[in-house]
Amino acid sequence: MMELLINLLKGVPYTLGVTIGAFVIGMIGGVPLVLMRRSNSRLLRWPARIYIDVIRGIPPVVWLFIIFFGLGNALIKLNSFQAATLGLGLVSAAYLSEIYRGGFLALPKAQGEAASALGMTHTDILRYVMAPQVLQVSIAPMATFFVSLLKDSTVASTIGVRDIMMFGSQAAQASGGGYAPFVLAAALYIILSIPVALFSRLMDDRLRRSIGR
Amino acid sequence: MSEKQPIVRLQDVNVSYGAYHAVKNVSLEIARGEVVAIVGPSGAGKSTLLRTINMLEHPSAGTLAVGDFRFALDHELPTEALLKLRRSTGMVFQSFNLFPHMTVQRNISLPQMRVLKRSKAEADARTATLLERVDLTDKALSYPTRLSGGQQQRIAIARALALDPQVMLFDEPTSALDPELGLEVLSVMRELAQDGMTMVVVTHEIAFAAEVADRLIVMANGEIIEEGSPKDVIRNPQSERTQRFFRAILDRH
Repeated sequence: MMELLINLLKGVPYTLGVTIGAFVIGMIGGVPLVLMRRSNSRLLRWPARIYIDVIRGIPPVVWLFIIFFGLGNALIKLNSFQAATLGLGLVSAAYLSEIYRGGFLALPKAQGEAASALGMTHTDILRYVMAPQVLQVSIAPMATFFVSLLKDSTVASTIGVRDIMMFGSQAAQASGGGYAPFVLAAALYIILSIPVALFSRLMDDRLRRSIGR
Repeated sequence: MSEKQPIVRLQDVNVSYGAYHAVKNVSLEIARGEVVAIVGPSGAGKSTLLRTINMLEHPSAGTLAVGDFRFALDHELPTEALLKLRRSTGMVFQSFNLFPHMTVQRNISLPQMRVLKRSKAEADARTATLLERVDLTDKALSYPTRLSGGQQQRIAIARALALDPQVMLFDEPTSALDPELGLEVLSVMRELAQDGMTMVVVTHEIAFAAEVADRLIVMANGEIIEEGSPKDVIRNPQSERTQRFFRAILDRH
């Protein structure tokens, strides 16, 4: 059992690496996406919409295969870890931009109006008035998304990333098909997600108290 | 009043939302230092008219002049002109609209730093003066949601004043407040008027309008139906519509 645990623990850095890497790519990539999606210009709005809808319509496994075997071989050389991080990062950008968009929609229209009436520029309104409030209401759903991304990162094992799932499968095969490695893997995923879930709840409470709406 | 130079001038302003004609051919001049109150039944176009003065509404026709700026309203204004216009007007909303994620001090200082490029020290000094003026010095580091509506509205007034506007626009500043809290806001506004600030106030507070305003404007159905000194308009309304409006108010009191 101990040996099995140590074996699975070797996958933790890869699982966390793919998850955190993809989340950061998504967090950054989601910003231009949501700005384009909310733009008045159709030329900006449509590409963002198409990107978001297409990406969310493709199963992550299929998408990772396309990135790894297609893009990863033909255009740029990507190892499986890089391909998984980039692939899930591009998916995350689509989802996180929608979370940001929800935050913008939750913002009272009067906030922008008050800032405009003060003579603030469009950029300043976005930066000082809207973005902090959007981020504040987005933190809890972002944390929820992080947990689901952590679980979805198991698809990285299908293109050969040595994550928790990969070590679990190998151990199961070696032991002739037992399910113990998967139970242990499940426990590991739960343990990894608990701090984030707690963080999410904490942020949610804080938000409720500070904004009071 | 006529010898004074007008600071706001609206000419033949029209505002429509689709088929709905909210403001019809309104012309209006406001002199420097004048306090104008706009009253009338809801849906009369009072707020819409007020909001055209800083272009929060987009009129379909007419011209607007504020201070030295003059705009034709039948086409979209360039951003630079729009910003200049808004910098020369201050606005106070019915729902206060403070920024909930900033302290009171930052609510008042940040716009000064961004819009007028004041240094943080300069802005905070001005903020301190204004907080003293609205009697809320002790709330500088509070967040708006911790304050009463009356306090929030006084902060909103300070925030607008901090940018040294040439004219202050008030859009039903006490309508969201219970009468007692409304009074503290009205007393700040009264002091402002005494200090010579040019003010346009859309309000339902007839008593306040009668006391503070130099001129009372009655609107109905998107038009100015009557205007004059508050005393004359209230005591001796000319049109049947105005008489009906004041009778309804008197009945309620």
